[in-house]
Amino acid sequence: MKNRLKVLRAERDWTQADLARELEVSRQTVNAIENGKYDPSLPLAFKIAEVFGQAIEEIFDATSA
Amino acid sequence: MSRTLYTAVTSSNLYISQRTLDMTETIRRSFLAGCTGDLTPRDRRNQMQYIALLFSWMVVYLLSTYAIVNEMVAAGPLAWLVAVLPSILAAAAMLAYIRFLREGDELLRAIHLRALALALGVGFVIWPAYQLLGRLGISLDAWNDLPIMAMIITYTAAAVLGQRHYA
Repeated sequence: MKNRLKVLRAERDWTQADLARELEVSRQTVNAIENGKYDPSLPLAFKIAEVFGQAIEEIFDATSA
Repeated sequence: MSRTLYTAVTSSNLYISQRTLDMTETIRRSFLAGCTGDLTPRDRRNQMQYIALLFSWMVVYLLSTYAIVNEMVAAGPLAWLVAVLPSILAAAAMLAYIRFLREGDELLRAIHLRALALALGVGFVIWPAYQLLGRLGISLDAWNDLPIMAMIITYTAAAVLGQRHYA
């Protein structure tokens, strides 16, 4: 699934490790989501949306799954 | 050497040194990610717990086997303790592993569950063949631990490859 995680993270000047700490996941998980290798669970997707202050559908593009 | 050339060479060397450092760091991170994954502090703590318990189980199991085979413990409560202690440690290791999976990072959990499923599948493939070959009279006594070893190797390989895939 395509997503805007990398862009949103770059806008805030955060590293993958910074975001991973915010989300309480590993840097590997953030990297895998950014590269589209792994689709997050619903609770994690909600958490990502909360961290960036956006709706889930504004971050993740379900049509590209 | 002219000052301009000197500056260019020095800058080039600095650039190469920095590139080398970056590459070394990338290789180091890839290697670590491939082996253990990029664990959160909680996952690392949980992983250390179950590995320590597994190691303890292995040591106690070997010691218990040695003591029983060499008749070092007389029949009685002590013999029971020697025989049962490895199972208690195995149960503790299993509970620690369940906690590692339950509390773990979701990608880590997915990787390990896939590795477990694959190992179980390998067990299902090998075990019946192993049993039937035994019934056919094809002795596999020297390969007594083959199914369980195949499952352990499959699990370990799948977990490491999974970590590498997502690194």
